[in-house]
Amino acid sequence: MTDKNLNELSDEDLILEFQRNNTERAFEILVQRFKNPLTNFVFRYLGDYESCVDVVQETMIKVYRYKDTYQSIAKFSTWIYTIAGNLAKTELQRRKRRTILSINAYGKEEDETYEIPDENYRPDDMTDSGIKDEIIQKAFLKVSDAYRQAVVLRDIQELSYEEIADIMGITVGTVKSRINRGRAQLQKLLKSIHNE
Amino acid sequence: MNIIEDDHQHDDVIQTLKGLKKVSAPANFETDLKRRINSEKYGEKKSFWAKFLLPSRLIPSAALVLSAVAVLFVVNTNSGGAEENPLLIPPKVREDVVASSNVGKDLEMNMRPKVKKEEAVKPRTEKKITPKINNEVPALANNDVMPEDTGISNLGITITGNNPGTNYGNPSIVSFGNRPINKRGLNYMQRNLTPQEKAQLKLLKKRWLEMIKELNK
Repeated sequence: MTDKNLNELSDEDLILEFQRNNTERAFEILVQRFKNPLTNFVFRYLGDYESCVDVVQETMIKVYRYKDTYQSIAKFSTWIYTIAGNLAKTELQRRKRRTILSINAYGKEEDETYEIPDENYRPDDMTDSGIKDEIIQKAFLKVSDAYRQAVVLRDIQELSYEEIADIMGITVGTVKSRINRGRAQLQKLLKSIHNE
Repeated sequence: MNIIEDDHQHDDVIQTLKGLKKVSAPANFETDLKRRINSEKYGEKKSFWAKFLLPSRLIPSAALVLSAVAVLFVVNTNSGGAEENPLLIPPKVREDVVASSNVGKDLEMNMRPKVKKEEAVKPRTEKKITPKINNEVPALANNDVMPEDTGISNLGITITGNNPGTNYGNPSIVSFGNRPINKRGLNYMQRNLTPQEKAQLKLLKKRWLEMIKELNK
């Protein structure tokens, strides 16, 4: 199959081509198609670019290695987002454990007080769009994990409720309620920006 | 309906989120990915048993096991040399075991029915025991049974006195069931008696002599 023909194939056809004929080019096209959406999704969920890239690469490796576990009844995007979401969750848990350990390492002596650096921005700096973006991202990270994933998939990745339900393994009703709760939490956190 | 209303309620949030910059993968993403895939291809994970049975792991563990066995063997051999060979030690004789086991067997197999038989055939032997010569020490006739109150008859022990001069203290043949008992055949143990045991033995002897005297009368 020529390169042009492969580019015209749908995601599902590409993964089937990769499964049946082990066509590496089909996998490469899938990587090209999904690397940016997945990076965006994982970054908004984790808030850290380096580990986000790591997670996306790990997702691609899993697709490569476990290509045969994909079943054509599901959409390829659902499958790959599920893998990425699970890996991102694992990374988040790992990071939480690490944070607890590093906070404990601050005060070595019993009476010593913890001094965690305050990285908040001053209000006069908020005009810069880059910093605004960062504040939104920080506020976003304060939203609980389950709500955040649903909001990212809906409002940033613009996936349908059904797809989100499939990815998260919950009902459409639960997805909707999580999205609303997540948005409400975020609205509270971003009040200062919205009031400007 | 509520969801749509909520969507409108959070319009500002939705717009803010949609306005966020799209984050894209780094330029070297695919190169890195290929490198990682290739490195994982060569370093594919092996099963536990495949890992366990690798010669590099098997040889040291086998060597460890062999050395442990060798150490145990050496220690065991050295410690065993100081002890006596159990096969060469003569068996310890236990008086109580000999008596109880033999008595038990004989009572069950031979003695009891025989004694009863004898009692049934011969009315009472006490009369026959009466000595012919009053001054002489009484002797038992062949196959005579001791009186019941002595307690010996219960065990099936018969004392036969072929020699009229033989006294009860030294009977010529003491039979135990069908088997004659003599000092040579007995598997007995010699031991020092405690003063208490000596006293008991004296008492028994005394009673025994008294009993014989009564019989003589």
